[in-house]
Amino acid sequence: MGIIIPGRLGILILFLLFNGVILYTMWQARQGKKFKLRRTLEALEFIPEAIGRAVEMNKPIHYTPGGSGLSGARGTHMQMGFVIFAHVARLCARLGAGLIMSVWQGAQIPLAEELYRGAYAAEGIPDITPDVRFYSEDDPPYAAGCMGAIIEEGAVVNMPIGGAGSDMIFIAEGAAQLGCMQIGGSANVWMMPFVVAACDHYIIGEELFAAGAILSEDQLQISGIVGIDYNKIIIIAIILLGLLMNFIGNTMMLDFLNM
Amino acid sequence: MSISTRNIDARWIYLAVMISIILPILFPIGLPISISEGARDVYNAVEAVPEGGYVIFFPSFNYGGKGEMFSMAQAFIKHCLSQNLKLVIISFAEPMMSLIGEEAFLSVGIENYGAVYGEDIVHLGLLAGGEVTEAGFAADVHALVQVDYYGTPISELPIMDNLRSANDIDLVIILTNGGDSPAQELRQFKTGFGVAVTGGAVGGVYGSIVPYIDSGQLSGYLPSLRGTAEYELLLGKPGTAILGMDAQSLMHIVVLIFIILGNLGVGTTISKTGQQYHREVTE
Amino acid sequence: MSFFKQQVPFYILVFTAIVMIVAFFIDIPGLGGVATELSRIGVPVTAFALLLGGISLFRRHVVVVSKQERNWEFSVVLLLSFAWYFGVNVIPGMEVIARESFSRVVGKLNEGMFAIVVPFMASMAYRAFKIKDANSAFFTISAVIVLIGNAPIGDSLSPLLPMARDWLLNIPNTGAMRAVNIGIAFGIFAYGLRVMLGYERLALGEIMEKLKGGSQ
Repeated sequence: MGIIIPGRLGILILFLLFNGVILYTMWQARQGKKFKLRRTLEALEFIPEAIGRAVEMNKPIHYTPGGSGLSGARGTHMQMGFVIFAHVARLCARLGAGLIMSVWQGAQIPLAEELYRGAYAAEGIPDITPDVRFYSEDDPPYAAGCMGAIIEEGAVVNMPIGGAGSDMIFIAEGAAQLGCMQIGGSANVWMMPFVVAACDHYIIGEELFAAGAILSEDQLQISGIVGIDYNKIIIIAIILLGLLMNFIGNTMMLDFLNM
Repeated sequence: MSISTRNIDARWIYLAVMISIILPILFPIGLPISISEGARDVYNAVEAVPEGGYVIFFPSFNYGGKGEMFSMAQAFIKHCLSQNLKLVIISFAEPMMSLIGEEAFLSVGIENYGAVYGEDIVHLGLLAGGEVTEAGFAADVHALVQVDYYGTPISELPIMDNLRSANDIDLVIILTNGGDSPAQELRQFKTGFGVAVTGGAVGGVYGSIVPYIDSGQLSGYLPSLRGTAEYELLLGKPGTAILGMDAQSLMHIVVLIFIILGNLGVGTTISKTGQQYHREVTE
Repeated sequence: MSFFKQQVPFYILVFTAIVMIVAFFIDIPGLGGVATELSRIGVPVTAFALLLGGISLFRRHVVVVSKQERNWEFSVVLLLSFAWYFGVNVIPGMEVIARESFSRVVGKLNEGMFAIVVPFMASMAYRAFKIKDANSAFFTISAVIVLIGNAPIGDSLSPLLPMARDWLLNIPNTGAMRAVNIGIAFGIFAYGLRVMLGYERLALGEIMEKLKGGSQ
């Protein structure tokens, strides 16, 4: 029978604890409990206004889920970017705004086109040809392609929301120089400052996951966010307890985490 | 004509920044560079590796980060080779990182340090797959790597004989301009096997890496060109990073001036006749 | 067909996740080898994803050239570049030419593109660092301290600047970054859990059902 690898028991206990909390809230959601997120995201409330602006000016919106693949940690940010894109696409279809979607990876084209068509079909426009553009899997040419699309098509709204990489610097700042209204979003810690600096409204950090949950209106996703909040309370309790124990010279918490 | 410093055309900013970078490179000022604790920690991390110890070197930056990071890569390679360490260059992310890794060690001239390719240094090229492949590499190197970057079987490379897993590694050096590094290297090498991790990052990424330095997970980390300049001074091998310091100073001053102008909001109106001017202070 | 398109990928996903997680924590003889083999599979899978991108690009630009759509001349340049780089990487004996042409052309173009970052950041700083209230004042002053403290001129102006920079980076920045990292890590955690349990529709391509008002 296997044994726990040294140095990982503490992590395993916390892993099981945090999993358990999220599984519990998801189980509650499946049992029919309705969760509600008390805090709203300001940036999401500006999306209809931004789309309305584009409709008034008869110019399209540019959306990019950022320069990242669909796997890995940033892949989850991309997934949230696509969830938000589905919502934006539906609003664009409903209000009659043009929509350009730029993707960073060739493998994302079918997904983007499926979401695009599905969103328009849900609003009664079944025969739309998705304007999904793929330039390159490298940040500089991808950013150049996005900036080129914004300039050539005269986009007045830019939404770089998802797994942004260094392409975000070019796209967001370039669009800002052109006077585009920008709603940006990134859970990439080193891109968040650029999103905040360049965009008019932004979704940063875990707000991206909350945004995905809010827009999907899926109780399982929302229950996951609630589970995360409960886990954060546990983390805060561990930190405070650890601080107190450290203050009185007790190393039990540290020893537990290093077990 | 009305000029307001709150709405300066960005092209003036671009021009000023360009001039502030070009001038000090053509006419160096020679401002003194102090050495920070962070640079000393990185230096000491490499010094702490015993002679003949294994150092895994990830040049995880693309051509975009080359301007900031290439001199850092060269400095690390020089330091490792001068300490007679076994240097293994590898990339898990994209092909151009392999090209840059090769450029870095070729530009250093390993023969100047008495190093022999295949015995003291090896370039394993790209192993695509990201963190998943890194985990596999840390667990069993020979299961994942069959040939080096040039197609030579690793059985013919003496440096690979004693490198079987992360247990044989003494130090991981990760140079990054974004992505999930060094977090994934910390997860796979530091947390998994207790291997010391150090390296450097571009300026924009460094701020998000400070928590790992502060917690002791990273054995120091170099911030961009400034960190490289300090490291070059510690090594006693001045390179291109030191050359860029004057330009960095002047450029930062220029940016500061524009920030101040943007906050002053002073408007100057010159009448059409150009004979008098009226200064208005806007809020 | 639904079984192969949805169920089989799901079972592969769950099996791989469980093996990798268990292998990380528990030392079971043989399991480490399985985990290593699974991670080796990631190599060709990633390579195929890159191939897919190349094929998509090629197809798109062939259509642009054949229909002479807008900017079709640039598509010709792209296709010729595509042919060149494909050729030099496939034909034996052209390795040096392949590496040199890539690093001297594509590499330099990328470096040039990233050179734009510096003036872009300067204009971003000019636009973003405006003092309107207490928050923006703290934001701007911190930025100025780090800006000047990072450059050697900061050391020359005052020894307090590097100290203030270090304090800002090590104390408020570290605290904030740790909190943000924890939140993001939990977000990824919860997402991964939903995927493994089969609740994450996007990962398994069921978003269309949601858009069509399908069952949850």
